[in-house]
Amino acid sequence: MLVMSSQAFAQVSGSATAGGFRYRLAIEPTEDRWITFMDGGKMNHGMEASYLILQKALDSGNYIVSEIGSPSAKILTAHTGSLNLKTAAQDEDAVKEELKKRMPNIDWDKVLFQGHQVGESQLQSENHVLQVMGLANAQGLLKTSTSSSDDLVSKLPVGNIPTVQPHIRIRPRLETLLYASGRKGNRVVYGFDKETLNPFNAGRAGSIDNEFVTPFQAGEKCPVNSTLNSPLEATGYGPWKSNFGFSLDEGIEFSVLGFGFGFKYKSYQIKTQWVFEVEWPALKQKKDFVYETKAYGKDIGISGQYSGWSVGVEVQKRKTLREALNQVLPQVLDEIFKVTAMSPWTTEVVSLSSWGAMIRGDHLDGLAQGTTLWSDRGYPYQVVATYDGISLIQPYGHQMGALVGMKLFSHSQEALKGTLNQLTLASSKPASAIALAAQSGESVEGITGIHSQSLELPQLTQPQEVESLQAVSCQPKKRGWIERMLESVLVVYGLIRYETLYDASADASVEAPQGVTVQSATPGLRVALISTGISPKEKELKGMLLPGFDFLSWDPRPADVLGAGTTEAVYLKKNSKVPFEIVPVKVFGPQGETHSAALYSSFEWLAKRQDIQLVVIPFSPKVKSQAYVKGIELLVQSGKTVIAPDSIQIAGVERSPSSSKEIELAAFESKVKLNKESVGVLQRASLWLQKNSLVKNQTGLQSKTLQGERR
Amino acid sequence: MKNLNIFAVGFLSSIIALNSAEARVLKKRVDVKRLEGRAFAVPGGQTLDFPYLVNLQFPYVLAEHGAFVQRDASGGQPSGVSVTAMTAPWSEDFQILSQYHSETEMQTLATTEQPLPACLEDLPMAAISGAMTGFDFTGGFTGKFGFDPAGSLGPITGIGATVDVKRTTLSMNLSAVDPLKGVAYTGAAGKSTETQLTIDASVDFSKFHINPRYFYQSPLAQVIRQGILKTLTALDEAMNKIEPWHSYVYKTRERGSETFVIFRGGERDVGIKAGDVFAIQSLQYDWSGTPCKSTYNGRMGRKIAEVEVISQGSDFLSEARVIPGSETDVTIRPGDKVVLVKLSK
Repeated sequence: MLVMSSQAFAQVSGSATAGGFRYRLAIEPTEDRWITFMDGGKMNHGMEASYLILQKALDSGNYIVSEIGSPSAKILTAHTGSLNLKTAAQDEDAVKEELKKRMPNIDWDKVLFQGHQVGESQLQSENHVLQVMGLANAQGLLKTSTSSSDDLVSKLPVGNIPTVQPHIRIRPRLETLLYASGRKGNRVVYGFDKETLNPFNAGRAGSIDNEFVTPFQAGEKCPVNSTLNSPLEATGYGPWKSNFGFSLDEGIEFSVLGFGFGFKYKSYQIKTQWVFEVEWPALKQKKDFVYETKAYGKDIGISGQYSGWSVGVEVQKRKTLREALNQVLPQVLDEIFKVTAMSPWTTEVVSLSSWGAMIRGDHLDGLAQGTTLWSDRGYPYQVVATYDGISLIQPYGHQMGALVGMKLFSHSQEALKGTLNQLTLASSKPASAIALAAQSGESVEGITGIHSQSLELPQLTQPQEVESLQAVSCQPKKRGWIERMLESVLVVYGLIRYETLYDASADASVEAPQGVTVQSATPGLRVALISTGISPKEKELKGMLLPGFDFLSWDPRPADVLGAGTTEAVYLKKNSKVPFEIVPVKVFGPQGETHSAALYSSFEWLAKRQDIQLVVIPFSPKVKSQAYVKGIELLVQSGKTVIAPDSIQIAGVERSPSSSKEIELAAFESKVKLNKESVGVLQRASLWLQKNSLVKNQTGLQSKTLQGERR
Repeated sequence: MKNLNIFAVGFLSSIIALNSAEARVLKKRVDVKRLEGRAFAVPGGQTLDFPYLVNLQFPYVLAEHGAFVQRDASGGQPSGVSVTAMTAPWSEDFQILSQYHSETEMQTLATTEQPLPACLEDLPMAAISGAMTGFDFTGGFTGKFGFDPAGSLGPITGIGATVDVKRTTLSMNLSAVDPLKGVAYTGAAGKSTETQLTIDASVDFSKFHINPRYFYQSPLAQVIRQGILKTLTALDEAMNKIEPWHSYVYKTRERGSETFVIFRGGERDVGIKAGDVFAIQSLQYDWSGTPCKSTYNGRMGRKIAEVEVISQGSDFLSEARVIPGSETDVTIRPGDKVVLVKLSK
């Protein structure tokens, strides 16, 4: 009998599961996805999920986890002493150059090289550089004289030896990533979910990012309007500025001659939907577990001023996406384990010896001396010794009949049938963790089945970068203290304006627009106006407005907060002098900002609507926008008439030259100026309306006459 | 900030120094895989290539940490070939060994070896893999004070000051992967929180917002370094709970009635000293087919001897002699496991 020093291999790694078995878990790498903000900043999420699952799985004690990632993952090398100083000096410059090229806005001398405080004799400055250089080479950044890490990879066992098939395989998938901030007019929503995915918001390799990125340098330019040929400017101060008060949901600041106070509350929320695709390869079962997480950010600021002296505090709190995901992962793994525990733990015979059969698995898998396992024919075997990765079994009250490759189960044949039935039943349920929770009669916190329609993102606040950039850099000019004081005094008027004019919800008749064809009381021509939205309170347009959509905030109430869209609609009405109905489509925010995903979504949505005859696009972008071009192509293909500025080179579009003059109209409770490009488009649209209204009327008359004759 | 950094580094160094004074520990020979992470975009369309920065610093911080040594950095990849084929560091090591053995013995030492399958020639204790799972702004505080007789709460024209504290957290996950099974047998999560403290006498009160530039105004390298250090400490502790320090037999030799064992890991790389005691475990590997090219099933082993280190000042190999009375009739072979039993004082 072989005397085994099992003690030498007795490794302790936490307790095994209640059932005694740990399941081999393989986690696949997660695709990283992102949202691009208007200032070009990105918010990524995804890849960390696999690593967080790995950690939680190890912590839970229920799983043994395979390494994440491809076997070809590179090995880092240090190569201490393998470079001469001359080479190192050259490499140092090369590395710095490369770093500067990649990340030009960072002072690399400070950040990288001085940031390190080594203090160890073997890592003094020159050696440090040598190491850094050696590493740079290992990553393939620079081609220098050091050896490649590939040589080492070939000698390293990890990744080169085939691994054992897992009991469970998890493929995490991020399906929804939505960011929301602001309320009413300044609300913005970025991101994607299953229903609203398009080439401009997919946030994955191959998708197109926002093309309307605003410049970063604060104060250099107005970041918003620089992307458009048709500047949407809210000129003036206080009440003379059409978007005055649009951000007052964030609080107010009031100060006159050294006395005042301020209060600010800004926040944002991020929602994600995760799908954890779980597979039990041996059982040929699959199941999706769907979870939702929430992250947020809050800024609260209070300030006061007395006789010129001011004091203020601001506190910022964040719950990051990683924290939110980390919170939900134990539940995910528990739920997966609940299902997994219904299935038998399995192993197989890997070799035979004169003492018995050797099976895969050891104490880490939950095997111990005395553990009983069952063959698929129902014969019991007992573990007599465990080693490192393998264990010895012997038949229990019967003759040894094991063969290499024979499967062994943690349950007897009868129990096995029952558990497999249970698993099959569970798997036939809708693929959602809710189903599991309901089945077990437990409430599972944080688990909801969600659809994009039910995503009710709170009407909250602003992305940190975007908001700050707008506040700093979108000022037409630096205001003097008199102007600031005036605005401060008139903040009450701003509040009234915010609560009344910008309150899109005032029009209760407007409902969710997706694919809706609205029955109008006065059937006529229907015109979609793509702009800043239209105020439902504009008296001039009473009875003309149909449900539209706000593609910036994913809101069925495309209220205007800048005035351009409302004024354009009023001008179109006055200039055409024929009856028609308007579908307002909002793609610009209170400062004239937009992004590619919103723009493209609006075109896509309009292309699907059969009840619209004319689409008016009174603007063109200064930047080369695929969203703009591809969107208009969709509209043309859908058979609608599209009137747009002359600069658009798309076949099938009715192009309109700019007007010779700008027009200023009283609308939107102020005076708003329309530029030459938009006036030109609107004049052409007016002519189209007059012509087609006449045709429609004549067709209507003929139709009536024919009906009369038949009678 | 600079002072804070210096303080932090000094403090950390003191802790390391204290620890090393308390008890000698052997550095774990590991491989390091490329750590995953993501580049992140900063406003304006520029990108901070974080994985590049983290991987750039990792081996360097690993060396600083003191609990690990990279296998390849500890002397290359000697395989059981002849002495003449060995690289300089190995020759140096053999010079040390030659103090104890004759030239003939050294030749025998180098040439009588039975070759092991390639993947077992030099197994590390683990391969470290992982990812930077987050680099987030997690909170902050701004306090401001000023005097502007003319004015409003807007940009101040008089005097003023502000205190701005931003908290940035770097999160990492590292795991120790079994080099043969490809299984992450333990893992650790670590965090590094960088607090940026700015006291500025010329204040712009209009900056009532989060400045995106905090990302690179903070000493980035310090955040990364501390994150790695903390995670490595947690990983080291987790690994210590699972298995003792171990290495593998490189060569053996007989001299008279005594058996000498040369194993991987020396004083310079892992900190082995004369008098340290190790157990030798004979291993039998079980593969489903050709060794190193088929699925690895596991290994059986048993303790066959105890050895005491006799080499002094060794680089990457240690020599030990079998403690009389501890041996069995099983021959010690290259590839057998050397498990730490006791460190000398």
